[in-house]
Amino acid sequence: MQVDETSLKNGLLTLVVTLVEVIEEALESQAIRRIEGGELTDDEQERLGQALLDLDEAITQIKDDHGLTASVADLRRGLDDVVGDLVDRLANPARWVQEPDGAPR
Amino acid sequence: MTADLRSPVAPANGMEPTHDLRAGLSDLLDVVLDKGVYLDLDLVITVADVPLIGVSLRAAVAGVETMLEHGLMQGWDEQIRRSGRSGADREVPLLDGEEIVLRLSGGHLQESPFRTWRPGIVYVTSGRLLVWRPDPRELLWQVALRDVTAVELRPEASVGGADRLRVCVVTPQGPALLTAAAPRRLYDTLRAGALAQPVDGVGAPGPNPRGDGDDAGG
Repeated sequence: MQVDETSLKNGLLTLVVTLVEVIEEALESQAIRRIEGGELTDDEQERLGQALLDLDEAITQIKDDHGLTASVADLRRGLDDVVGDLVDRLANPARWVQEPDGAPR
Repeated sequence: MTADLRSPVAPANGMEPTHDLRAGLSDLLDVVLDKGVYLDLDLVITVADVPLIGVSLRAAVAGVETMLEHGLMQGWDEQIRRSGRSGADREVPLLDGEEIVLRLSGGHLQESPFRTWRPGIVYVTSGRLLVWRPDPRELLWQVALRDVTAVELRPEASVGGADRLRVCVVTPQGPALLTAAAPRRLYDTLRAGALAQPVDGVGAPGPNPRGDGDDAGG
């Protein structure tokens, strides 16, 4: 593995941006829940929407600025796979118990 | 084994979905926030029957909507939203009679105390070019349009290796580098309306905007 300053910067930025993106998505879905909850005033809804829009734009901007769009998408896919496996194991323990006799290694 | 018939490992027919009951990270996070997580941890680390380090952790993580359903954090919710309503003026501070010509998300390259891009919103108004960060409020950079002596599009290699167009603005204080969602639009706006007096030495926005890098290079 080759580590130079550029790839280190690139990897670290990718990690940070990816995490921010995941958090942003969580914020978005919680924002929708709050708006549907009906407690927020019109002004608050407006501000919330605008702020999330700005955040989305800013993240896209940062990704473009640093040429990270592809690597962030890759990392997202990797993380989703890890989480998918984990959820799968928790949700279908039977399948993972069966595997040794089904396919002995 | 009869259980095998219902197991995804041994599909009963060709109609089994191949993908994708799998959940992604976002889905997991959504479920966690919607349901809420409560953690109650007591931990004592002991050496030779002598307790040395104690951890007593109570944590609840959930979306505020879920918190409110369970009667938690109502005070915080009200208090924070009240302060948001009173300090309502989050818009960019404009002078009297000043009007916004262009608004783009972007950023400004800060040179000191250390060199870093600071993201914000780039405004071109009738009198100024400024980069504003709404939250927390800060005017990152500004210049009066009449002080702008030259503006230039400059391709620059980014960290990821892809070329990005930056907008270089030359002012009496020296050149400043801006980035924007649509650099060409910012450039065109600055060139078209903003620069009152014609500037010599700056080429038209062509495929190679690097014509006069000497006076603009910092």
